[in-house]
Amino acid sequence: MAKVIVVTSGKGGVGKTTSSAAIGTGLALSGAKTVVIDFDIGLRNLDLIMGCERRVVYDLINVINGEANLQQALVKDKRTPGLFILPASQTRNKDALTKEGVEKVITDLKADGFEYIICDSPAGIEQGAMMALYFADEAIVTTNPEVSSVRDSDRITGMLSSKSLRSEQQLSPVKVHLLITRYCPERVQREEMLSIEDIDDLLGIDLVGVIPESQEVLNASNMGEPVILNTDSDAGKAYQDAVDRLMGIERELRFVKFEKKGFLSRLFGA
Amino acid sequence: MTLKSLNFSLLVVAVETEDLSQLADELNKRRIMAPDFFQYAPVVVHVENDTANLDFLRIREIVTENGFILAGVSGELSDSQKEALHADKIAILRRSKRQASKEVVVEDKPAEVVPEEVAETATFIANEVKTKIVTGRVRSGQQIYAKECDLVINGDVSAGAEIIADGNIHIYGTLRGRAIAGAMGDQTASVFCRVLAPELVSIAGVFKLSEGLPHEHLGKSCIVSLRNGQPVIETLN
Repeated sequence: MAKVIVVTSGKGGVGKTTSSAAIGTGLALSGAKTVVIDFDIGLRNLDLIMGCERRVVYDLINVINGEANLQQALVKDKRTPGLFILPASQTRNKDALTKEGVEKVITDLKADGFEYIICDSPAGIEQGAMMALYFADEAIVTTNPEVSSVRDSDRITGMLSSKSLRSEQQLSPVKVHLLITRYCPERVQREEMLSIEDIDDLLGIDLVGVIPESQEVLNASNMGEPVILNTDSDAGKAYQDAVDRLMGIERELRFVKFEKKGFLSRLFGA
Repeated sequence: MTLKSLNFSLLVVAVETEDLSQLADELNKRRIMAPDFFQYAPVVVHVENDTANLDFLRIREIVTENGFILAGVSGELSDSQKEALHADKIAILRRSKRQASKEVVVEDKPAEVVPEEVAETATFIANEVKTKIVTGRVRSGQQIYAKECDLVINGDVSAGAEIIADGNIHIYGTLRGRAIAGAMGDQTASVFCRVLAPELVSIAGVFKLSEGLPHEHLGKSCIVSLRNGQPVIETLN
């Protein structure tokens, strides 16, 4: 049964696209046919993060308007078999997204055998974000350990329970997962940053992963290579854990405790 | 299509003098408390002084400026006031006198004038409507209104969420958002909560912001109620 998963946050710049790319890649690596759809019409980014920007011909809006078919618009990822990208339009605006259009695209993707349909939501709570979450079965709410990001996540979680197809048709509610990104245990210990417990207290959403703050994330974005492929980095490992948990495999939380480096480890860089 | 008669509950604001700045203040205060809730809410202006030379067009302007819609004017109006209202095309509303007229028939005193009632805003009887119960967290941006009854929230109320009741509010969780009890003016309404950390609590229009809350109550189980028109916070034990 195909699953539609929206990656959303309310607030901008918290790591939605980075997470969509990493999680989409992770799911595809597990052998499931996966597509990541960029809903950020007018501010197309996903193709850059996934390193396929030079192969984009048609986009989501072309498909919705019937100017191209789905097969023409889907960009096949070169690194990961079974992974596809449906890019956003860079020239239109978000009003070009219609509910009927999006519904048809998602239905067609399901018919095409896709097991995971990842919807990379734009920031905000306007049309684009609403369309990205409307058809979701599950949601990954991305949050930074910081009060304004947490409040926006709270808002978007409220919308998932009131503005989605599942809520309108009174089906079982959208399953919401919390993904904390840019977590820095050292700063949490110094009480400069909200802890996992604080965020849980404020949001009450099941945790699917905690991605530590890492230079590797920026490097990966610049190179157009999802950070999950960097299996040596903490962030890459943390995304892999999150993907495993999404698929129902239990994983211990890692990289969430600050360990002061001892003299020897500092000396040897362990 | 048939013309029917239905009863509605409306917000009522009293006007006592020709100075309309009080009216503007009162409406503005309400609006600030719950902007979305009161946006385009119909409001009745109750005139308490039949000798006042009131500028009804200005009243309508003030009501509109504050985001409300003037549903009409009520009160014991003088003939000149009525004429002015007709000229300005503003509805004159009469309060339901069912109760009063029944007494008149029984006691057979047809000519007696019904005594002027004190303008009361709490026009509902809380027991008539069942308490509204909400299970789960109320999230930022969500708004819950318990019309003419009490409200029970079995969960936390997030910052940026708004819960409103015409009666009391009970929260079995942390209150971080706004709680507005006695929204129709019931001064005996209270807010009860397990953990008090609100943005705003209001009883019958008298509100306290988080800034004005005494520190010793923050994070505690509390009751917020009105005493002599002032909000009082007590620890629940």
